[in-house]
Amino acid sequence: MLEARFTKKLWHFTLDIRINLGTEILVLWGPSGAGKTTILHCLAGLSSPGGGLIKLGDTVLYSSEERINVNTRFRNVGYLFQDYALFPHLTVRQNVLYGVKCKRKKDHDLPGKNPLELLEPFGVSHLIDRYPTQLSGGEKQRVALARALAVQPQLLLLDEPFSALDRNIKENLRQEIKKLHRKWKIPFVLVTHDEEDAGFLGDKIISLEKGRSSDTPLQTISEAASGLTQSMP
Amino acid sequence: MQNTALKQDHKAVFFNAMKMSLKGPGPFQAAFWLVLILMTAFMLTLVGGLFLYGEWSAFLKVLQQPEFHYAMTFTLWTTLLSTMLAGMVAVPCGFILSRHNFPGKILVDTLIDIPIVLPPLVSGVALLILFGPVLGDALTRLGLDIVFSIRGVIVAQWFIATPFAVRTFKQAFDSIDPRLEKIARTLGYTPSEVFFKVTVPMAKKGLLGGLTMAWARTLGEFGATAMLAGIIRMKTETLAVAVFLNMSIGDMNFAMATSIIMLFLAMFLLAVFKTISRLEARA
Repeated sequence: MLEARFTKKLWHFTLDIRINLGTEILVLWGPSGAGKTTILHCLAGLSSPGGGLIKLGDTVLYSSEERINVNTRFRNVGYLFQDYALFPHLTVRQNVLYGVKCKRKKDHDLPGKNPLELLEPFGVSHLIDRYPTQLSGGEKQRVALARALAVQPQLLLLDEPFSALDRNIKENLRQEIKKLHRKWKIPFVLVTHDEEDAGFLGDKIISLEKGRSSDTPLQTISEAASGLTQSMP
Repeated sequence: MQNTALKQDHKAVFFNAMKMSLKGPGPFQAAFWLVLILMTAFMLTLVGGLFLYGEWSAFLKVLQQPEFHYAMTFTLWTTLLSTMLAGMVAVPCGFILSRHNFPGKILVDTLIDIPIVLPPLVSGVALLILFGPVLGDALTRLGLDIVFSIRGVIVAQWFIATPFAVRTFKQAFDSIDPRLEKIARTLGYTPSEVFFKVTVPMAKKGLLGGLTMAWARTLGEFGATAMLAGIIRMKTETLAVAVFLNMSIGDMNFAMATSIIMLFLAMFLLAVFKTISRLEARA
């Protein structure tokens, strides 16, 4: 599904990443400043790599050789930010429908399914007429998820989706994201610095250290994570 | 045990607060209060004096004069037009300065700010030289004379208002999380759609506040207008020019009445501005 290998020069180092992903969840794990968010930006087309190739399904999104760089708005990539980034001047309903309206206008084949149904499994469908300031952190993040999925993306990028949340909400949301992934069957790329998140969600894990990536065996991290869980009272 | 200790602690805090409020502010705070009170009294006397000095009947008589009508309508339409033009220039300038970094940005930023620090008279002289000796002949051939004309009034007002608008618009754009624009792009919006459907609605209050302040600037603009468009009765006569003109020929009643009207206009704009910024704080 997702095939990406590219380089990107950052302040202190050059990022060099290789991703080969089916419909699994890939976790990019590492300390802050390791270039995790930059990778997501490159996949979404919000910034350009220095060179390489990004392919989603059969579509080439970026290729330095063929001089292709598909604009963000045609990439069909959902993006979820750490602090939700809901439009504060719009209600939950308007937020979720924001992208759909735009897509419908351009692409009439889009399935006519009601995107607001996406809110139901998250248990936030009763909040539909509220504004983002009236929501809790967990509710905001669920609305943001629904908004990202409403445009039927073929790839979902999640940038530290739990780091602004309380512990128990975070655990619930982690479960929901796993369920969601089974239902949608599209590749997810999730950035986190939290070992537990990585161990719980990652089908594949790439750990990053100053741009150098290594395929950490899943075992070590999930062991570390389970160790952590056990030590929790 | 612990609980009672805690209660006593609370009591102590409470009584301390009581003592503080009974004692009133210390000498340091009292001095600050005194300055604030004196300043308020000064402003009240200032505004009151303007009202009490003139005569009510003379005031009404001035309002009926054709010269006043001319100055009033002329001021309203020129300031509205120049404010709109300033806004149209300030939107792209403010947005680029807010979102992008480029070599020489500090230089550009400083250049645009010049009219803010430059005395309006000097701005007027500079404009006069640009539209007179430098571009004057070409403009005359096109039939677009600026110097000593109504166009000159608009150019002068626009020149004074634009840097204010750019500054306030830039701040309005700065206050928006650029991630919201990125999200809109991943949701399928083109750059212009992102701008008009995300950036502008979210910056709306800042933009309106900036326009109000720019408008207030154009209403009071005198120095640059006088230099570029001249002080010509019933032609380039804005309210500010009318005050100067009638003061200099000794028609105090006219000058006073016009000043009072300008004071009302300024207070109205200030009220609009405060309302807008209060809405912003609540949102």
